[in-house]
Amino acid sequence: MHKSALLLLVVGLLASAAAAALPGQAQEQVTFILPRTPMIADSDAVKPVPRLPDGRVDLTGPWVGGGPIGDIEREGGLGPGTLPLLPWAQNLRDSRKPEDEPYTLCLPMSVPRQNIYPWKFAMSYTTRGLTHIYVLHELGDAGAHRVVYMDGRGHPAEPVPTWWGHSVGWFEGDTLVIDTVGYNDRFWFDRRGTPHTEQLHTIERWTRVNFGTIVNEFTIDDPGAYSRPVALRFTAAHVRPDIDLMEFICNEDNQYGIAGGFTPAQSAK
Amino acid sequence: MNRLIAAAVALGGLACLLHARPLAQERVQFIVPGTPQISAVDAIKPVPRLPDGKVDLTGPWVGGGSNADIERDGGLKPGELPLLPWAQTLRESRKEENEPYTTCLPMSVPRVNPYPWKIAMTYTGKGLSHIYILHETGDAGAHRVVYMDGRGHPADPVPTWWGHSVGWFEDDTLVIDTVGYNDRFWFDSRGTPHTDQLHTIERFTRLNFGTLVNEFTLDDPGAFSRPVYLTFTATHIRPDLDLMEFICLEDNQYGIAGGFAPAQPDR
Repeated sequence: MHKSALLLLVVGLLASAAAAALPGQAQEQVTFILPRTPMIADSDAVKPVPRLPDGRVDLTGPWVGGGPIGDIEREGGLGPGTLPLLPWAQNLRDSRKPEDEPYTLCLPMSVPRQNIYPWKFAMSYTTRGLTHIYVLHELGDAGAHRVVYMDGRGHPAEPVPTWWGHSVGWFEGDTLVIDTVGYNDRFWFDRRGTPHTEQLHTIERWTRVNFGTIVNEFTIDDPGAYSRPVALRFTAAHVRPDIDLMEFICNEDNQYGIAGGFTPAQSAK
Repeated sequence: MNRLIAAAVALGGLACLLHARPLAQERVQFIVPGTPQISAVDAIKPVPRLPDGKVDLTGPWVGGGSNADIERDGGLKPGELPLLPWAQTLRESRKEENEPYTTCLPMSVPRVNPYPWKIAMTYTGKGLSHIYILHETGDAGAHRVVYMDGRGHPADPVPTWWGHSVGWFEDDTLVIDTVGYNDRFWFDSRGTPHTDQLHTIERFTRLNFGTLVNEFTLDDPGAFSRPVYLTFTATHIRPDLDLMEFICLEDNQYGIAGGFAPAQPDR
């Protein structure tokens, strides 16, 4: 790790926040240089899918992408206006302002939102084998770790609504399937403000196509905000294989959220 | 899980933060239920193992580090911690409510709170290449990384909250060597300080199913006159339970609502 690399990441976050600022306040915007995360070489990306010592597919990464950032409709592969939002949900999306997004206050972005920083699947073993997969993001303190139970348990009958919901996973061939319920309704799917309700049920199907590529076939089922289930597709790319997630403490000096006068208890719902 | 347990944990979080308040007239009474612990019968069962034979250190655990006072919690007598005079003065000048952790910043090593944490033993194509330390107040400090792939420390590490940790096994003991800490976190709510010269060595040994010992070496010539050896013991929680989601920053009535912003912690 190098000090300038750390600095660039900090600058990158500020640029991300600045990009979400009000279009009507262009005079307040500052230009940042936003360097890209170093990505895998084309010649390495096409190499075979690696495996764990027990033969299971290695999905670790670190990855960049694989979910929406600016607009889940466009980034998930749909045409403009084809996301089947119910009228109230469409109105809510139209009324939301990017600067009110809970994520800008270092709150969890949740599923399937991504940012421009790396994340990884941590395939963790206990006595009973691969019992937990944790999803870890470089912006780690913004939302803790996500847990996927791989030990065969089901969902609780009445889950407490949480930011990350209750996730159970299993393998179908080499595809990791993650089924999640029990979300709260506080996070946004994207900077545009696409909403959901506590009825949200998501299914992710993660398939590592080659060393450098993993595909997320994503189903949103939320009868509270959508007229029918939606199938979306996202692709993540591997970062340069010799680098790993860095420490980034979002809450340490968040000049956008707290210094900007937004406190988490007052976030727009 | 049910809503009662979630409410109890949330109240416990508030109680933990409010406990640091010096103003008695502002205190609010909360019922803090203990995290359900393993039964005595289960605690003495044998140490479990991973499918490949390695010792399973996962937990979840409660304890195993400092909380209110690293000197006392680590087994020393009052005044025995060899703080340099400036560090002792700094500790005495610090006020509990200014601890960075109360604004949801990382507590770092070897601090633990009354909530569970675990050692996630994580495999990649290269075997057990990473251990992650995960805490129930997870968004307060992200995840800690311990590289198990044989790498060394960088020559000039960027000072960070969690530092740069490398680990290895000596028989069934997990040894974690860490440098590259920043000087911003406190070892305890008493305010025991350190500098960015801090070097820690943790030796985690699981004695039986229910008990994990942390033999902890604190070496910081910037703030201590000599290396210090401390011992902490963690207990397994009830085995059918796991960490819960707890988003410290969601509605932190102590930190932000109390007027403390993370950019202004007392140093």
